[in-house]
Amino acid sequence: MELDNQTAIRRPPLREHSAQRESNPSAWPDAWLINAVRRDPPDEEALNALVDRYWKSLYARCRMLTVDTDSARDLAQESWLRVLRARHSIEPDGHFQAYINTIATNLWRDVNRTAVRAGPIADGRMASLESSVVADDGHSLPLIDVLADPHTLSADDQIVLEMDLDNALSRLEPRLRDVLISRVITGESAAEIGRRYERTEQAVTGWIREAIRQMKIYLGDERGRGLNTED
Amino acid sequence: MKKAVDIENLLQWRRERAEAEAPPAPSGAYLLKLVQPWWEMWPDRFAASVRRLASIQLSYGYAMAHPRHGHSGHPVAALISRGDEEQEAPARVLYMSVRDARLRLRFQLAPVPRRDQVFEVTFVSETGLRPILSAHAALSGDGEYRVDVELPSDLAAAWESLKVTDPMPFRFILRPATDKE
Repeated sequence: MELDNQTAIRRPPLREHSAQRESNPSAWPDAWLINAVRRDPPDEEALNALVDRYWKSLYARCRMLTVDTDSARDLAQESWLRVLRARHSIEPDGHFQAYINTIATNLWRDVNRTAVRAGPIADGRMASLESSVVADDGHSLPLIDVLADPHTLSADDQIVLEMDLDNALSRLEPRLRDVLISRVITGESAAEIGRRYERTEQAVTGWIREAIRQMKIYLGDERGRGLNTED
Repeated sequence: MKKAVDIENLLQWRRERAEAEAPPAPSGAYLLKLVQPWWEMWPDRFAASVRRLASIQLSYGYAMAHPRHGHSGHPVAALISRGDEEQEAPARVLYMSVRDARLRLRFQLAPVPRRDQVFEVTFVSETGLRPILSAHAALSGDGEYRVDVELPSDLAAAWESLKVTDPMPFRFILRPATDKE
């Protein structure tokens, strides 16, 4: 694979489009970039292109995990340093985004290791998405109704909603935050997440449900009952 | 009534906002500089430290071959390097475990005038005196330094069966670090 790619990079261009692509690392597929980064010394241009390609999505994931701007930047950068230290073992044909996301998640889990415990999440505490919470006035409040479409809000209200979401995320136990983000943002399946945690798919599905349930409750707390009275 | 959305869509919206507010990506050159180990940045300094480390092996050779306390591990030759100042400070490994490619190690330093909170520990191979691993060691309340680090697969395989009572296949160069990794 490596030889194939190196040959492809050095090959005299047959067509203009092909030549443009080969001279511009930003247009290279991941496998080419990774091969170039694996060399000693690593190809700086290829590394720039690879970092640029995945920086924003990685940062966003780190931002939601850490719920803090500076910590997110540090975590994202540290993830790249780990990638570079282990660059010789990276599979060029692997799923790079999943790879670096896993590194970031593992680093973050290490930081939170003491906080991540299996105890609190028992099957008996799982709730369905249709379950409800009780409002301060004693009325049953369907969880789904406390959430407003952010696109319908003013810019100021969007900022407030952003802060409320961050607060709600920060109140989640780290493991629940991780599984929720892995499922919803990264699109990992419950089975894939389960393999990371050495738990069954069913257990992870339960965690995701619990995370969503808690998010709705916390968002309800953060936003008061105002949104409930808007209808 | 305002249109309701579910948590999943709300989180996706938050992700988009986070992507939009992402700081500029670090340059490849900057990352490569950060990841460059000190022994590559200052090869002369490393060579000098290794020469000193080799001499410690001679001084403590007998102790290393005959540990006084069978259960507290072998002494390990160690050199504290602070800029231009170097100080010999033999260490004793108290605990060592390699599991799931992760090294957990505790060691104690011989009494030294100054106790650093965190060291960057360079593991130098006993055979060949090559740098093989770099990790941070933090001082615990009971005066031990603790290392918890992911190992490259070759080291994990080689050290997996190592016991704390075995002679250690490495020596330490300890460089004070300002913070923990």
